[in-house]
Amino acid sequence: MTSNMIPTQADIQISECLETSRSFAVVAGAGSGKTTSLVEALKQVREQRGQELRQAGQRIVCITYTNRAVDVISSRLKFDDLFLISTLHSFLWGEISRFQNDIREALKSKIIPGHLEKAQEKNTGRDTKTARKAKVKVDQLSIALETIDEVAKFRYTEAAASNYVDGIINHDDMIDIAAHLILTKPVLRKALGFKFPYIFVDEAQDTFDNVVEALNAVCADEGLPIVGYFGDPMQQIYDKRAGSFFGPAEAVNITKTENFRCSISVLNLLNAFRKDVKQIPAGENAERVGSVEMIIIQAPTPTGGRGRYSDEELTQVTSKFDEALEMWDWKNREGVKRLFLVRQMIARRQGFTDLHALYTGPFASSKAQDEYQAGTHVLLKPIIEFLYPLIEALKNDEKKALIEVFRKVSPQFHPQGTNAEKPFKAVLSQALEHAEALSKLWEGGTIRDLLLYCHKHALLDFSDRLIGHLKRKPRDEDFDDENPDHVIEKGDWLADAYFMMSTSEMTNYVQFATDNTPLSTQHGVKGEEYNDVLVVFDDVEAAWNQYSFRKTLTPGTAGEASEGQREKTEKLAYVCFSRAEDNLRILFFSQDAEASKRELVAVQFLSTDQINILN
Amino acid sequence: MRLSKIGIRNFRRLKNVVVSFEIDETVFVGPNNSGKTSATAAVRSFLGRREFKIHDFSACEINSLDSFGAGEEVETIPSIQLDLWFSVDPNHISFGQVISLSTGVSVDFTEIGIQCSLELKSRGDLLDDYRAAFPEQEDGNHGRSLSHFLGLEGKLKQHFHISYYSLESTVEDPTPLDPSEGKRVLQRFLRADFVDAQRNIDDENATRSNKLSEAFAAYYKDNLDQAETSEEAIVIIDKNNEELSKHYKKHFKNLMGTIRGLGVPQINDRELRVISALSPQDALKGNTELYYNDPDSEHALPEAYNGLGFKNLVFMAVQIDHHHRQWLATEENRPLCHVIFVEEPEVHLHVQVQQTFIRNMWSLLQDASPEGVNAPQLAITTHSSHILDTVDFSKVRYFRRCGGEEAPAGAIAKHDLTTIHSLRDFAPEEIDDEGNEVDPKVAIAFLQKYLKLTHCDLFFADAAILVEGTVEKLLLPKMIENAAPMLNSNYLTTLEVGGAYALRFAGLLGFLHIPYLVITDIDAVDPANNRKACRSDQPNAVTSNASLKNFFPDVAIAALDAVPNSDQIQSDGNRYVAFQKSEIAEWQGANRKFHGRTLEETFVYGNLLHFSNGTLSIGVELPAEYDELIEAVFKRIGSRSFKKTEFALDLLSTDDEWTTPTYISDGLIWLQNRLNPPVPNPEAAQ
Repeated sequence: MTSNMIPTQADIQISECLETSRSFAVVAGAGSGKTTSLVEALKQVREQRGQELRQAGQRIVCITYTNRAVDVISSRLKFDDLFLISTLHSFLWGEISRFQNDIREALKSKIIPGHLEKAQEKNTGRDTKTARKAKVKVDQLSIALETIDEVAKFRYTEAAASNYVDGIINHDDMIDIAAHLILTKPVLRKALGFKFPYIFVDEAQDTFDNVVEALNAVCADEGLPIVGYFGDPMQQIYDKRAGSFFGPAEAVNITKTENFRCSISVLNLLNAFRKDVKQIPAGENAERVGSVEMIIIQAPTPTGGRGRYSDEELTQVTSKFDEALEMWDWKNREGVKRLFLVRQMIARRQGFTDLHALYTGPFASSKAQDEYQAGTHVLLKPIIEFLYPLIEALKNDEKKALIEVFRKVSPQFHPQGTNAEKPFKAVLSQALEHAEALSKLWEGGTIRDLLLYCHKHALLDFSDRLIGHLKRKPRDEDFDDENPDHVIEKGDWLADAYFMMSTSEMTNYVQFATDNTPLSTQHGVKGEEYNDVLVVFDDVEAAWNQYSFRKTLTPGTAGEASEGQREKTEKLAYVCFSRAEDNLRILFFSQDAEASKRELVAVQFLSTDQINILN
Repeated sequence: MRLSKIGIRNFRRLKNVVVSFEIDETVFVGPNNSGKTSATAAVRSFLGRREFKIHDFSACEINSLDSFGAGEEVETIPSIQLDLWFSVDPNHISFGQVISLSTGVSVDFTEIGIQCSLELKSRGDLLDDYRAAFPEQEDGNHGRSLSHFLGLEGKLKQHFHISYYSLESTVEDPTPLDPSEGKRVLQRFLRADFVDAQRNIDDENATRSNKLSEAFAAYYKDNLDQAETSEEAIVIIDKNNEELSKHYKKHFKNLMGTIRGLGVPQINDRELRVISALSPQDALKGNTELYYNDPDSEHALPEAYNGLGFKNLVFMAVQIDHHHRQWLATEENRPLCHVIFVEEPEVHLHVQVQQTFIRNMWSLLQDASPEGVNAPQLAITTHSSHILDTVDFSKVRYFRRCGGEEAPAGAIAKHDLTTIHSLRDFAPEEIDDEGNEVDPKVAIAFLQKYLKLTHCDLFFADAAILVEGTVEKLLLPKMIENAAPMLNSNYLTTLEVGGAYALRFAGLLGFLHIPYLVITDIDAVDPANNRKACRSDQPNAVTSNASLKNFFPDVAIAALDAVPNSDQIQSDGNRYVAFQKSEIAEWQGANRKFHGRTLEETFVYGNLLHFSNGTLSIGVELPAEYDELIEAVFKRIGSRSFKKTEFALDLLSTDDEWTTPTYISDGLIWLQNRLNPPVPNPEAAQ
């Protein structure tokens, strides 16, 4: 995608909106070059109005969904200061954080009462766990409401829960506060409009409803400021987001129908699957036929209780998976991206189920779980950053890599560290000595042994938190999730269990966490593209009730999905299918394979020769 | 957006002042050493165009620093502060920037400010550093004071830094800003440029004498279309310097036109020309020389051959235009306000040019501003009453020297501080001496016209003397010499306003806190006889003097005669009202009571010996009989044939030592003591 591309019909419409200062909303399907259209629009404003805007200290803001998107768009615009490319959260917090008293007022009059009302509904007074929890929550919120005037300063953090008394505001509350302030304070709307006469929103479908409403309020009047949304309602796969999005009343709705990514076969599937937008191949992909094939596996009726597979059935299912790959001759094919609904399925195939269970179990806060997924949790970092690369280097006999690991992570071996003056040979032999010792522990010891060794020889700079865990006695009482002290200190149980583990799953986990496996969650690949994609749909193994691929794709066979299930599942399936540039393989587990096939062919999802059955 | 006012604290003599700014030009006036330049310097320092020095702290703050250094408990370490307040248009693009200083979005606002504060970083670090440099000696002292230590190279900068706060009219305390954010906001809000008084244009030194040429060259380099730095340009230059001279002529045309419009007389007989003097080597450095061309003889004179006033004027015009264009051309985040401080533009300019200076500068800036863009605000410091004559009172900011808190009894009230009065706030009394309503605008217009007509230097004086008429004015220097010679070392201004108008000035002088002496006549009239003039000793006589009627409760001459001297000191000790009172003098061997009605009568009574022996005269013989004498003097001086001015000139030309009338000498002595408080003798006090 280069900037001397031929403008599409949608691009021409966008350009007209920019010239006449009208807000607009672009629906752009998968692979349509949405980012290119966005960047071209940004460049157009720079070209036509940049000088004026710069002089007046005004900026063009572009709100994107991830930090990665921020980097991509920033670099395409050569990091020009005229643009503020930002995630929604950092943009909104940057604009409202100064108004501490207004934030306090919003919490007092809107946010906390809102939470309180919800908690009151659940606070039935009955002796159920939900009611007891709701009671605790009601009490907490009531105290927060009483003491909020004494909070000196409100901070936005990535914490899972707001702690109003300490001035901590989480993601969701911050968004609600910002939207509330923009909607209720004309002064703020005016200031935002003058500061950012052009507001662009990427991935508009993932923006929150109230934020879209707030931005539309900023741009409600004729002329500048204007807002331009870019997104695809079909690719909204997170909860509580806008999905369908519309600009202010007078905004122009634009649909981008090109697809530059997918082969003809994949595109046919997408058009069969999606009703609102019909895409046309627009680039060199018009020449690629590609392939889409599906295998429906006749799966056993689960007997493991609560609709899950028994262990035996699990083994059976896993072997069917391998068989299917053989049928396509994809068993040893390089570079196939395999997409699963849940991490659990990946952990099982990759071999780190115990660690996964620990980090998705009762001891893990949602922050710990997020950090586990990102590979940044305090307990895991020493393994990911130091021990695993060290063991690998030793195993492969790469002395240079080994020294590099030490130099990068270990304070002792830092170029300005305590060993800086010593001759290289001495340093090397010392490093080898440590590596050998650690290698032994890696084979036979626990994670505690490894970390203690590192601490004892000052190989790593441990945080106080980690040292505290290592030094204290393991908790001997059982964890009780209704004891508030336990809830606050649940990290203790997490650490204790973790320390007792061996390293047997670590290699597998690290490879997944550092993105060195072909496995990914279906949610995790949004915005990505791969030559070959394998999608696995097994509702039973995934055990995530919000989704049902069977009921969504074959309602006649598996029964009707609920409205919510169907919408979510359709969108996620669309995201999965549209990742493929050339070849797509779909593995579909059904309790009635034949019937499923008949139904899929009947609705022209695929043709009969594209679908095979594996009994 | 406009700079609306600045507040300065603890900067030199500016302990705590506020100066409001007009949307176009603001004029700073005041006596020497009243802090006008300091106000400019404070802005300059905080905008990073000048480094702070320890002696920028007010004197008492230095004491407080030294006490801290000596180990005493000091509650607050002094900081130098500058508050910049801006008026805000909530419907202008700039509002998007303004919001970065606001701490709330719940109310509309039209005013916002930023506070810059030079503050100590850390008490502990400063003390440690100081004590390490000057260790404690046996007597418990550190040898040198902390302020001395902070005066050492780099120490102030090391230990003090600038903190920034946002100011809102609805929020009591300033809200701290992140330092880098504060600096950024300040730069986005305000650009200040300075055209200094020391312009060096009168420098005889040959190397400096082409200062003006340099200014033109710089202007060309920064603001006008430049020849491309290409080989082609060098070829052009090589080939024909004349071409470039034409180019200059074309591009400087507007500026030259403006200069021509500045009203310099000789511009009519000489024409300015910028001549290219490039050699290929330094072709691209923009080397130009300024010549003056005589159109008749085609004879070009180098810059150094021209008058200083003309050079000064052109220099200022080029500088102001340069700053303005630089601001206009700012490509990114153009500061929302632009203020140009011009110091003493009157230097070397003759009166007519001074009078048109502001108007011309203003039109120069207006012409250069594109549609919809504000011209910069000008802040002009001046000592010229001629410049002052041309601006509205409302634009004048009067800097006044004053003491600190009331000086303790016996101590000298040191006038080491400044207060600033904005004449925009001056509202004259709405009732005149006759009890009629007066439109304040009319009253101000009167004062302004009066000051303009008389080229009065009221704003630069230590004190004012309001006199009744020409005679007083003529005699005043001699009377000061006789009665209160120390007043000669003070800057006095004399206003000849008469009893009727003295009152009008009282309001203005009171507003400015300028001490003043009113010398007026008691002007006795007979209420029973159509208020005709009568002798002061007539029992039922009352005064017709509007000022006296206003300053004192009882209009009866007898009552005024009985007013004790202490009641003549009024208006918090800033005003003394001098008028004739009865006196005892010897006449024909007997002590008699005399009460002059006017200065002239009183003068005669005070110098009876001279008038009776003929060395001085009022044109008639003085009768010997007391009552006849009074009557004769009253009639003679009241008659039309009495020439007051000649009388005064006679007094000045005589060699005889005459006596200053007591009421005047009392007033002068009061003023002398008011301005030069007697130094208490410490020994005598013991």
